[in-house]
Amino acid sequence: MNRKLYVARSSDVASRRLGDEMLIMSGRDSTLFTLNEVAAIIWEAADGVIPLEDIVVERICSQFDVEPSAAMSDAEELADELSRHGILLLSEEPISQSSLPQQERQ
Amino acid sequence: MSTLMQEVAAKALKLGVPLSVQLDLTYRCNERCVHCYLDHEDHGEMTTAEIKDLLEQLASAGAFILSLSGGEILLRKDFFEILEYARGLTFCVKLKTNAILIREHEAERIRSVGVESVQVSIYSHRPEIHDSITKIPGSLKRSVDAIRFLKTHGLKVIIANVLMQQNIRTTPVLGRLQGNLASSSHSIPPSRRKWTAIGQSWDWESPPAN
Repeated sequence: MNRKLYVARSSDVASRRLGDEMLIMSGRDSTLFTLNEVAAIIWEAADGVIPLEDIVVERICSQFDVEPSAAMSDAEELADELSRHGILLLSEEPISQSSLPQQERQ
Repeated sequence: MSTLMQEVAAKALKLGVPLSVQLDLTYRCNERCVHCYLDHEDHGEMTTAEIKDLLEQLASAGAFILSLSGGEILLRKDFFEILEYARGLTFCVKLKTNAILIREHEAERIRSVGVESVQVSIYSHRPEIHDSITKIPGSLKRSVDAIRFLKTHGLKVIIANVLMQQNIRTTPVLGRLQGNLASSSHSIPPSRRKWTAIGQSWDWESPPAN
């Protein structure tokens, strides 16, 4: 059985949606990233509580003509890459809200 | 400006999105710079609630880069409340300050909130020149000390200079000072400085060509 993977946006970044893209600036080194439409959906849903698999099934596969296994593979690759840049947190457990941007905290 | 940022700026322009904005929080200042375009009088300021509302509107409009300027931003007692609120709205925040009021505690707090850069105005490496421009004795030492506090906390510091008759001969040495203290520096003719005050902005790493 596949492990559950939780993803959360780092609180140390700046971000803003621009059209169908998402702009993200790393607080670590001011590197600017742009995410395309699909990646932006994952970014916006990355609240540390919803497993990545659920995000892919409910928000990607429901909108785009893509096989769940292929979408999940691409999503994991994206999450790993963003994690390496320090802008996305990954965990096999739900991620504490204290790590999230202020407006996302309940 | 990087190619990616140019592409992003072009897209924002096409969509009518104010990608980068400057918000002047106050007219008040604790320096009296000879070249300044403000009169330093208290013309009234937006309240904390009004500024928070404005920040929400800017975020909704798609503004991404937020430069907080003045006057001197740290003269507002609610400065950190505003800064924290802006970061909560995930703005990329840049600060423009003379840094006189930044000590160890303030530098640590700025770092903890998270800003992209802090731009500090330094007009000369020589106190008698810098202080004669700001009209505040000891202001160069205060600002340089603040830069050291900010750098100690890992913050990106940009030294901004305005070229004038009073300081133009010391500018090359100021460049060496920034090499020791800051991340980068720029010398701006006063006319450009005024241009920024009416709401346009550029990447301070790459000011526009003449």
